[in-house]
Amino acid sequence: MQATAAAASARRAMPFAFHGRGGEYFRIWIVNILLTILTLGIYSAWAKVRRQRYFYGNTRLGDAAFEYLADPRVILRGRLIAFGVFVAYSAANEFYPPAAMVLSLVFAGAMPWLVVRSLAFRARNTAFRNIRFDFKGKYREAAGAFLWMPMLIPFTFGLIYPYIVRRQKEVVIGNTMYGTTPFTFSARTRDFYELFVPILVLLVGGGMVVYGLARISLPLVLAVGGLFYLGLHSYLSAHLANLVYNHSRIGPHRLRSDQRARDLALLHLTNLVGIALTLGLYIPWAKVRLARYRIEHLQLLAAGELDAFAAGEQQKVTSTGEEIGEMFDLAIGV
Amino acid sequence: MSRLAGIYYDGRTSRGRPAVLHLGRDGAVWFDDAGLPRASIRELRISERVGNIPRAFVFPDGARFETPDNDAVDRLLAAFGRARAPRFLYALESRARYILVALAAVVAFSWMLVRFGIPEAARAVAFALPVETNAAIGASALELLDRAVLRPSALEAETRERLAGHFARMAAEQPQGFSYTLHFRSGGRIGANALALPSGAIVLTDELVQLAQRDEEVIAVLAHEFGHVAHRHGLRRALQSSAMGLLAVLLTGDVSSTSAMVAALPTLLVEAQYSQAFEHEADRYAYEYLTRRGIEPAHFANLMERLEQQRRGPGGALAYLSSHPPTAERLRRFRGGS
Repeated sequence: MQATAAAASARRAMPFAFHGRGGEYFRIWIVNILLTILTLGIYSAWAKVRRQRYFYGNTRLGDAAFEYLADPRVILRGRLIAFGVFVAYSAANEFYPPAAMVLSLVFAGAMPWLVVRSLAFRARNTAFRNIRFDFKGKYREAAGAFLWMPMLIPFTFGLIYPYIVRRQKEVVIGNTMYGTTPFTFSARTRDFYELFVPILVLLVGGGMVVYGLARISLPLVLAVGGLFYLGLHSYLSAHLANLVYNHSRIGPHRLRSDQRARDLALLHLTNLVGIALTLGLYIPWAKVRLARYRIEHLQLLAAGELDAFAAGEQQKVTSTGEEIGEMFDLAIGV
Repeated sequence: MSRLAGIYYDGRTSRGRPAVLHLGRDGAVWFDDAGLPRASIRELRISERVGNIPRAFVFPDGARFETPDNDAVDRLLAAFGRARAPRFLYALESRARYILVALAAVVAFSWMLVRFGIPEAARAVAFALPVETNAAIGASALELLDRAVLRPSALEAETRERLAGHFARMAAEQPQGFSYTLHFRSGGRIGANALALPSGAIVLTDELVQLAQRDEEVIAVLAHEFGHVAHRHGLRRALQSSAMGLLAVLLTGDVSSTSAMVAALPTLLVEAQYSQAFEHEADRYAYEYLTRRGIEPAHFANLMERLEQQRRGPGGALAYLSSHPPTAERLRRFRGGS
């Protein structure tokens, strides 16, 4: 492609826009829940597709919206398998812990596979301008970043952690394609240490303060500790998102993200208060607000037009990996 | 004949072409631009309406025509009698009264489930499990308590032996399968208190023993704690909170960290409710036990009353568990004779 210096200097900033509205999503959300209850959970797969289509379809770049194309029947099958695994694991854990140990080992071995399948399912069911995304990662590469390296964390006093996060992002982004065009990821290990070291210092310092307060008053600790956690969480998620997006490229185009920790902290705090006061009914508005913030702080620095991406060959992929991953709360993604 | 303005993507490259789609009465579909394909509406797959996101017409070769004009697409589909089920969903989502009905139904269902469904299911499961399961729940709880709160007891050996004697007699009358043990501790921060662990271990604090004016009062408290064990409250609590977590995920449909944090808030309220119900059960158990043995149930009320006074007083034990039902109500039950 025409990634020359001239083209690079002529980049055009195209903002991502989010058109979802809380009230509109609330209607979809409540109907989803009702039908999920009435069908004893079967509808949850269709509900997921509807929810994802709403969020993807309201995410726009230029004159086009993203699309979520997953087949609910595939998701349902994945969910049933995931549910079976979950029940087996819980039952083993409750009644015969040695079996749960064995299952945990099997699960650990399957984890890189889950990561790969889950990323592939998500990517292949995402399209923009009628070109699907794809994920080419393999078990072996995922195993390094998601299984072997995390095992070293205790032996390195956690010092390896920022490196692992970088490797994971590299595996995720470096193997993602838009049509036949690969994403590239250029962040250095050093960037991740520069992000994580201050967080670690704050965590240790804050932990000591909270520990000290614990001797004075429990409610005070919960309040201070909660706010501290919220602040740190917002700082990390804002700066990590910025770091990752700002070092990701797609062909000649680049991304720019400018989330701010204090905006995110305020957003999370107001969302939390809203959800708590309404016993959960505020959740749709909370999700829309968060999505809008993240999406509208992202830009594509386009080098030329977005017309030149070619479609790749598509393979089918089952959603079992993604659904098992969700069941066990595997946090994967950008 | 109808027309729709939108963008045509051929599916081979990301290039989009502004196009106007025409639909004839016979179902023929063609574009202004003669270079684009023609088809019959029966060959096309038209995406379902969700909110106001763009609608796609998918051609057999994978090309897509996208239009933001949802209402026009709906009119067009209605004219051809297509896609009834999706329109049903959108109809549900777009009418205020259906939304209100859905909201009421979801709230009522969640309330019923949380109030009756989960506790009853947890009870059934807890009693279907082998009795040994109870010991597995919170096996190391006493160790943790010893490290965090409790201190060694300073009671005289004579008192301890006497109370252990009462305990042994009571334990012999309890359901089999638990390993009943009595532990004396100094209560520290939790002051006058008694705890039952699911395995059958019962902790009495020195402060509680000192607060009691007669052994019958201690026996009454022990009976209450035996009630917790016999009703398998530890196991049921564990089952109930897993069920609540699962329910939150199933209903809201995601496992993100924010909602997990937030789900904890209503859960706290519910847990307080659940533990009140457990206290009622344990009270009833104690009442029946005392009556059976011919001990005046009012002894329990007397001790509770003193605890309450102490809690109100300065520096008193704050902790006789705020999860317990209001004392006045309990006193009435133990004194009123039912």
